Amino acid sequence: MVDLDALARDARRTSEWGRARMACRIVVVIAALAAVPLLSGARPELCACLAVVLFAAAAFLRWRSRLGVDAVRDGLVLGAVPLAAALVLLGCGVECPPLASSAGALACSAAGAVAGVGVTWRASRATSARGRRWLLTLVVASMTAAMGCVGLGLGAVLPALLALPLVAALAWIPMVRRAA
Amino acid sequence: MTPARRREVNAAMIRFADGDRAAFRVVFDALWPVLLAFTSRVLPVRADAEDAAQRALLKLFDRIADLDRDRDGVAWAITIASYEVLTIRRTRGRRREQEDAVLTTAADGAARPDDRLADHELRAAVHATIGELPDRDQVALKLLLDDQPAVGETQRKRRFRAIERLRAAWRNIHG
Repeated sequence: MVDLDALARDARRTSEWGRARMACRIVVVIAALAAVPLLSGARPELCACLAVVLFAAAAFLRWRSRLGVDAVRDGLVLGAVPLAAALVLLGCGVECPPLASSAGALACSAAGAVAGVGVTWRASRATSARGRRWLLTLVVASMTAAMGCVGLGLGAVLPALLALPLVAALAWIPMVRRAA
Repeated sequence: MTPARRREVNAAMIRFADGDRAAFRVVFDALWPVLLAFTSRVLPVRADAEDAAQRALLKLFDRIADLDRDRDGVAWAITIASYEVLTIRRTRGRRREQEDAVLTTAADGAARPDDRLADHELRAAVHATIGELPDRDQVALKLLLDDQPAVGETQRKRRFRAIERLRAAWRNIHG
């Protein structure tokens, strides 16, 4: 005779382990994204620190719910826009000194703005919990963008990190108005 | 299971896969009887059927996060159960083959591994007992064990006496 309570306990525990395994698979993508600034000369300890924080957040969100899985996917893709911009700027030899306006800072702001629009656009296409999806995507995209721009210095990270949520919020307003 | 109930269970599986932990009990309570009924139909031994159903259920929950939302969850569960049934059948088949091999060996008259081990131990005990006998008897018994025929009356008598002493020594040691 099968002990159904014990079986249910095992099944519940197994399902959580399965979710955790699925959530941790994102480490491959984050490691690949972290390798880009690392190979282009970013400080390894700073890059590793940002990658670990991003992985912890992404794995938790993916483990928690499907909403988190979607938000992490979109956030990583959109956060890769400033990362790609930073890579191109590094390839062109552009530097971004802190607290100084430069072509590099402007380019990072623009990339952040594009990612911000993308965050709102993706959230607007969600069928439910748009607000939470928007917020979670924004957090993941910002962290990915910060990790991507770290190779260019604080002068690139700050503009990207300011532009991304600002533009996302500005784009969010008409959507909320339309919904109301 | 009616189509409506099937849709309900499928929806609960999707909710659970999407992170709604409260849907666990609904999925568990709905799938266990379905899986047990399926495995009981295809496995004649009740214990095997329960074993296969349990394994299938645990595997399903292990992979629930990867559930394909466009496919029928109940059909997926039964597919997993059918794999478990095949595994159990294969295991049982292998065990039966091993048992058959032992029986065939016994029928052919060939020595089984445990018989060979007992024979080896017996031989070692005989050699140890022979080692306790005088040198003359040891030589006579060695020729006997090597299947060499006794040449002449003297050697035959010596061999006979050596066997008698071996019997006595064996009785002393092993009773």
